[in-house]
Amino acid sequence: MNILRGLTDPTLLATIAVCTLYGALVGALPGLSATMAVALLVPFTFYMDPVTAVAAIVATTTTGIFAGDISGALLRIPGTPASAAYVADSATIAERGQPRTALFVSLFAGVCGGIIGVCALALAAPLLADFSKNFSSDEMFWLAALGLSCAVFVADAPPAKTFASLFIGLAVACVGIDIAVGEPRYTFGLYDLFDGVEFISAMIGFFALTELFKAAAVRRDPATRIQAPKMEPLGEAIGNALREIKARWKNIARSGPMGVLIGVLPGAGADVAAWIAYAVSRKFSRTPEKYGHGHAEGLVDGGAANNAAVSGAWTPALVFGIPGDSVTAIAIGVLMMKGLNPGPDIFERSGEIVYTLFGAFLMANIFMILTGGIAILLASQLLRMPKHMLMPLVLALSLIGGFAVLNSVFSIWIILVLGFVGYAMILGGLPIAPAILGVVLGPVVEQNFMTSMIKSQGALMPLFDRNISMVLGGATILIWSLCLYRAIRTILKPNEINDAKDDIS
Amino acid sequence: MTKIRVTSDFVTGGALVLAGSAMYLGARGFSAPPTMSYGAGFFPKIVAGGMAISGLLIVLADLRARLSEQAAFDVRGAGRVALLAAMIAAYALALNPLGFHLATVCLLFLVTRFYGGGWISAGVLSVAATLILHFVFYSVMRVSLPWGVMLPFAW
Repeated sequence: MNILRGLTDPTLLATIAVCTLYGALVGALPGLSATMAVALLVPFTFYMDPVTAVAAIVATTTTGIFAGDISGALLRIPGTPASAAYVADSATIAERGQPRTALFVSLFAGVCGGIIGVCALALAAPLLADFSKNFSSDEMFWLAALGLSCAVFVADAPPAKTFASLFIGLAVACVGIDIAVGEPRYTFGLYDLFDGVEFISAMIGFFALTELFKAAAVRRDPATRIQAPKMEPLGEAIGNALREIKARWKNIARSGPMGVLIGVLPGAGADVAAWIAYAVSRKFSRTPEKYGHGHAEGLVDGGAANNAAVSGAWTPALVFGIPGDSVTAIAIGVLMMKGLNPGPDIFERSGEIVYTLFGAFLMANIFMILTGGIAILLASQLLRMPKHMLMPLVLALSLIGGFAVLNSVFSIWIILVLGFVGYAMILGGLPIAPAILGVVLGPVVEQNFMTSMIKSQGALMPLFDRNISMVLGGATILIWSLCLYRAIRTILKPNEINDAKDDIS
Repeated sequence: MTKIRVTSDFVTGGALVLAGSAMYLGARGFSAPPTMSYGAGFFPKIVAGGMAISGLLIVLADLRARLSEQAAFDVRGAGRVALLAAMIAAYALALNPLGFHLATVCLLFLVTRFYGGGWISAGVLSVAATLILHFVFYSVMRVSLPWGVMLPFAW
């Protein structure tokens, strides 16, 4: 009863409404992520009571993660690493003249995934907490390695090129102070590189600047001049999206719970959830060849999983104080600031607040239908803008967004260098998305591997000693072997590839 | 004598082999703790090896099947990309001394012209967008944007 009373408090409802709109608008801007939106919100939470403060963070995150899809679809610049998994599909649908349909599919899938996430959490949070308690660095290493292998499945390029892109991302992740011995690596004596390459700068460089360079290279080519964008009527877009969601309810029923399970694992978060859900979706689809070419199926799976994972990531944060992702890392700080120390007994100590928090999650997802819709309407005006106005704005927003992350001009240099790398990759036919996955997951893989090696004094076999790590390790090695086999087969039997290319064209 | 046709995949693969080799050489200088066989260079060496092997696979696949187009270098396109990159580099250099406002107005003006905008639209867009960016980042999000030479007029 107290929980219900708390949830209907007008201040709380107003906070959730304002924060869902704030999250949607900030997340929709290229270069500004949900994490940044939450980080910028923290000073305001000083003046809020604990439930309102946490609800504000929850509401901002929920819509911020979805809104990352907006710039992804309209500008081919994913707002979050999670959106990067299916940006090729959403952007291609938008280019076909159905940008609003793509975004409403994302929105509705996100809302469904979010609601599944909240329900799963409310019902099974203690069980999920128990399960993730069994995870050590061994399991986390294999899980992150498994996440990396998803890049090979989702990319629409030959395996060797996908691997190359992934290793470029991992190489970027190597920059900075080493976590094992504290030695600077590939920093060229620049202190600004000691902390490594921040992933938001990497994303802006790889995606935004690459697009700007592509546009610059063909600036005067009349064949590539942007046509007046087609924008379908709002009612038609909502109808299309609802039909798509209705037809793909099984995908949501699969990816929602999967997102929760992945989100609940410490360090995994919405990014890994979206990538794995997209890869699984493609694997089980009847039309896997359509993925990456404007197919809504992957969009539904990825969108549902990443919003479900947002709820899931709160379990380790609440129960162990281990952040599931960067947003929950900030949230833990806010919880502690408000005297709500995360720990296994938080359900006993502050059960009312925790369940009010789950309620706030549910409300945020429901409010998101309206605020997300408003964000789509506002953001879709972007496409009406002529290229000579849009490109400078994207550039300025990206550079200032990158600057704001570290409050340092050095971010702009990182963006510029990685923009060049991304552009060179495009020219060489390498996909960009696996590189981003490498940047995000590289440190997770290395950190957990080194922790395991320190524990086992350098022995590799203990990585397979425990049941869960054995299963995850076996699966990872099997998948990587299959990928390598496919890459080698490309060389040994090139005619098959040529024939396949002919079939597709 | 057989003439080797240079394709884009050949160039890409070759560049990856070179980059991987350079990264591997760099990683050889990283130390390992005395009690452990895995040190700071372990992960970079794997990544470097992976990059070089991927490059080699791309080259081999291309040599076997000739999948890619002949390598072509668009001098004009490269020049335009270099010009845009130079504008961004100049912006990074000017941001602190000149300040966010002046540097951003200049960048937006030049980039709008670069992408084919008229003088008037470039002028209006650069000033209006800078003011909006100031409001969003400085006033709402409290990002401390540099004022540079505009510091005496800071508001």
